[in-house]
Amino acid sequence: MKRVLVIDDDFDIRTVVKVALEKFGGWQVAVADCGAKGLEAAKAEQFDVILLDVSMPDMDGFCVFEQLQANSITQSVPVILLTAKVLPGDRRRFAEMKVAGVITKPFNPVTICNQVSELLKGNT
Amino acid sequence: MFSSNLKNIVTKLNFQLFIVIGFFMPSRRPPSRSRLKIPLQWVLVVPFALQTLGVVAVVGWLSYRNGQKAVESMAYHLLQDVSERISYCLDTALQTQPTTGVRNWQAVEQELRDRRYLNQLDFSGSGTTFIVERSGALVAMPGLEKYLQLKVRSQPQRLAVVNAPDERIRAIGQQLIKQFGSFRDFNTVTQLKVTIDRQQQFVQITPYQRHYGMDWLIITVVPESDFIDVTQRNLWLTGLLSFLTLLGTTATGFLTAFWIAKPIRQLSQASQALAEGRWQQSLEDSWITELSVLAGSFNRTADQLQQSFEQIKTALQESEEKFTKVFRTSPDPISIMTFEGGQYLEVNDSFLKFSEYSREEIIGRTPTELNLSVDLQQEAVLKEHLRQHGTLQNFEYYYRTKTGKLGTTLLSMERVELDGQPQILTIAKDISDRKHAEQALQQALQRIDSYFEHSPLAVMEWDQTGRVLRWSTQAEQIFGWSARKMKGRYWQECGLVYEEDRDRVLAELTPLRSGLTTSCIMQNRNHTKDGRLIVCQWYCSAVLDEMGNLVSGLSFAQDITDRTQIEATLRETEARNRAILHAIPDLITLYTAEGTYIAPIQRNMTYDAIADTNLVGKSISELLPPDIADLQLRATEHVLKTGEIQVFEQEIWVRGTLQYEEVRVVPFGEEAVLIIVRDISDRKRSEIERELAEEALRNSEEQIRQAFEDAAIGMAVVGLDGRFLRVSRSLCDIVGYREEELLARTFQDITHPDDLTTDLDYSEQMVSGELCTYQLEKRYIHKQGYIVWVLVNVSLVKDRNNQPLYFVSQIQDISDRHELDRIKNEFISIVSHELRTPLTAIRGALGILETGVLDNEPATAKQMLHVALNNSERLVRLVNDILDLERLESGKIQLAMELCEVTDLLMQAVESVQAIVTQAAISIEVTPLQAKILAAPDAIVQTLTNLIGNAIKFSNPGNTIWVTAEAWDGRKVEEKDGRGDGDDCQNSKFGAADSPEAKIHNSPTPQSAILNSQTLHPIPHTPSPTSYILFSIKDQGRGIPPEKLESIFGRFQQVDVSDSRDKGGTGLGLAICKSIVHQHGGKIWVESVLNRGSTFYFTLPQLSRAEA
Repeated sequence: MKRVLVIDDDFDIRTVVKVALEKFGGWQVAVADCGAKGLEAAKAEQFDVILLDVSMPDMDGFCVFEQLQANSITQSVPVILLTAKVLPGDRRRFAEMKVAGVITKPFNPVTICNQVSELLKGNT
Repeated sequence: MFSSNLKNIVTKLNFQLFIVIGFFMPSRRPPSRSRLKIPLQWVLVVPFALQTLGVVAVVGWLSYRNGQKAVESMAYHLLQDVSERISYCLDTALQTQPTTGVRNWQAVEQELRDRRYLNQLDFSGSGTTFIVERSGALVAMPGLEKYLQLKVRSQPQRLAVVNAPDERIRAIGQQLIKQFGSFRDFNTVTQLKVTIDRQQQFVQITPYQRHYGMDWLIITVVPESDFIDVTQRNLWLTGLLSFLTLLGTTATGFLTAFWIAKPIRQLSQASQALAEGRWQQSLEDSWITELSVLAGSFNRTADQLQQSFEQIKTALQESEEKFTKVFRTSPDPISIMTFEGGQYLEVNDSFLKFSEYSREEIIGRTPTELNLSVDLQQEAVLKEHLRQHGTLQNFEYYYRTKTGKLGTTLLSMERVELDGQPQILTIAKDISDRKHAEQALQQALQRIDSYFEHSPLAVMEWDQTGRVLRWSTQAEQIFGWSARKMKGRYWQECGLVYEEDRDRVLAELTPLRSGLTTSCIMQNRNHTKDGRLIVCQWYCSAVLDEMGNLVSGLSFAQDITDRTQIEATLRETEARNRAILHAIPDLITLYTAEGTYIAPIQRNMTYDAIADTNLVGKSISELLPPDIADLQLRATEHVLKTGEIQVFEQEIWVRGTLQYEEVRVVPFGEEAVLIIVRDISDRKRSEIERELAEEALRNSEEQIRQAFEDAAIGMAVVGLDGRFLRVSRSLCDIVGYREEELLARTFQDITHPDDLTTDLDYSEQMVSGELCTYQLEKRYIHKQGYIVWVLVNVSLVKDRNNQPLYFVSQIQDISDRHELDRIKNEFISIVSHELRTPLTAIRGALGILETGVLDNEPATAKQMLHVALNNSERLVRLVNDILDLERLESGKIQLAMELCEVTDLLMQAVESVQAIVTQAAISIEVTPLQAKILAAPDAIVQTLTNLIGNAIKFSNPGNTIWVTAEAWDGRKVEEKDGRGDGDDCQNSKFGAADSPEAKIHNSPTPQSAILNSQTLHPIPHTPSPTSYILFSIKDQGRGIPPEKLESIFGRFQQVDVSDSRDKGGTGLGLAICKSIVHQHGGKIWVESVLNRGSTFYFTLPQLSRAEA
């Protein structure tokens, strides 16, 4: 059973992702509604993967990822971006980041667990 | 007073003379030690008397002693003789007695007594003799028989000698017993002296021993007094004679001494008189030879002494006079003052002149009282020194004269005794002038130093051996070495002179060093500290002393490296000019202002009208035809007057051919001109043809140029190396450079580095023939630094031989298009994101529901449905808003303007939100206004509804929202509101609109805003408003951060992105409001204080009354 941290500012999306991961993956899901809280949670608890939104107020996903990487505790936790940014410019930028993978919104809630698992496998 | 002092001084000064005199004269001073004085008489008499006395005494004593010895000898002989006679007598008596034995010597004894033999012995006046037995019994003595007869009847009775009746015999007997104890020890003849009654007695004891026991002692006595009378008489006589001798001797001595001492005494008296100054002394001649000689000598000495003294006296007087004269006339101030008090006793005229006081003012006063001394300290030092040493030489004394003039003098002072008083003789030497001269010299030296230091030339000084003494600042600058480093070093050692020049420098310096010359100039190369090689001009001179010996060498050096290079360049230029001149096929001549031929400069023309070369001094009128000469003269005049070169053409027949010439008249100084003549016949002849061709070409070129210049897009001719050869005005406008700036650059210079490679690749391909033309979108960097997007079309121009010549580029500014693209892409990006977010929620929720996994969890399933529904509505709103905005901004919807009542608009808006207001427990206060405006009522109501809706979203229950409409003439809101809380209004932003136009015209005046809006979206029948209606919606919400006051009117620019979801907004509401207000010719802005609330304002133009 995987432990997953979902960081997203949109309440509805957090809800949907949490339900999908729990119901279809049987995973244990923690959620954070902003980058700062997400960083705190990631440091406080060991997660197998972090699903990170990119467009967030105050601290965006890029910034959160940077700080996760900078911290010795969190730098080893794989991060998968969960984003509605799908334009070529965005994709280029994601490619430069050392993230485990990118899942674009909207996503299929039934297969998202497989997607995450595949990305993690591919990463290892 | 003066004279007496002077005399004393003279005395003092001539002290040595007295020493000379004193040598001859007895000192007046008493001898230091008193001695016992013995008169000459005694000296002469006493030795004689003592000698005589001694001799007499010795003789007398010897005579007395010899007398004594003779008496003694005679006395003992007498006693011996008497004793022998008695012995003989006794022997005879014994022989005559026939019996033997005792009876025999008794008979003898009897006979002795009977015969009175001893009485008969007459050997001296008072001498006596007696015989005793060893026992001391008296055998016989004169007169003894009468004592013995009384006892004859029996045995004869012996009488002891100590009892002898004769007093003398008894005394002798007692004395002998006392001296010898008894008579038994006298075995030989014994002679001795015995004193009886203070009378010396000569005694002889002679033993008389015969047989039958006869042992007697014959004692004979003679008193000394029997002989002494004669002796004493002799002694007395001797004493008398001695006394007489002594008396005679003494008298003789006294007489002799008197005669000897008398002339000596006279000599003494004469010497004393001489010493007292009585020179006429002469001694009498003496009959004693030695004294006569002494007197003569004395007289001569006295005469000489008198003469010497006279001479000395004269000299002394002269000396005194001289000193007085010196004192009086000395140019140096001389003064005499008391030693203790320091009061002036006497001063000379120079002193008066020097001090500027009168004699009366000075005498009796001290220097301090006269205020002569500038420094009281020096006065004390002076006194102390004088007190200790008594003399002082060359003391520098700073004085002040009566009139206050200050100066320096050298004092020499001497303590002298005058009239027994210690006084000070002072001789002053005024050295003020010298001091001034010294100061002047010092200043001059400083000036020289200053000159040296500030000289633009490096100044150096060397000693004879070449060691550096002086090294000026300029020297430090030129050569780099500091003066501190250089001083004391030899120039030969420090590597100053370039190695190759060293021998020459040494050779050139030799005459200077050996004194053959005093200066030399040379030029050589020198090293500097930093290793440069410079050329210096050296001016060296010898500094000589009065004897002409070399003291030091002084060098001035100038760095002429630049000058040398310039000279070299100049020489080259001259050579080049000469070469050029030779190559010029012109006639160049020099004329005076009056036209006189001065000199030919250059005659390279093939055919010259002036054939003769030797024409110097001739007038131009004589050399050339009158019209041409006149032309040249006028040109000359003009040239000299204005300084402008005159160029003209002339035609002249040379050797039968009409020669066209171009003449240039060039000013050459103020009095001469150069006339340069060139044969342009060939050129002239081809000119007609060429002019025709050129005319045609000019026309063609002009057309091309026109086309190039006036092209709407940028045009450029670019060299193969990228340099701009020609640029059009449009291109200049695009990149912001002036034409000449651009022509000095290459296209690489202004191309964005990221685009350069592509551009160069294309151009290379074109040059190599792979491409004929190419088109490229690329970025230029504007002169202001921003990027300009351009579309470039490039083609290559080649020559006849197909060799590439240059590029021709057409440049089109596509920045606007790029900006539009960028905005569009950004919008698409945002819209995509904003649409995908609710879609994600919908897709996710429905996807989960669809699987049936939540069939057993109706609550969660319902939540999922709610999520889907909620996001669907959001999606619908978003799409609507996007469409509204798009239509508004693209002008696709024409707002239907109609006259509206402001109050109606307000009420409609408030009514539409009434339900939400009530639900949120918020009160809303409306301040309506009776006014009419021309507006699209739905749009304005939408705007008001949006703004009130926003206020409700950010209000808390119990809060109030104020909705106000009022007339506004454009003044500031604060003034109108009368709130006056400037601090609260610090975030106020007028003209907060964020369209590019609004930013540029960021003015709060509605006029400009209207004009902008009209520019953007012209409304056909917009009246000219004179005032506005100001709508304001004020809340008590959380406020807006200052940095977002403007941006919130942009698309998807919520203060917080989550607001769009939480508050049900799309992020486009304010953008729509702004668009509507702008469409109406109004403005919208917000003022806000964080945590206290925000007020949104918008204005709409009010119709004038007439229009209304």
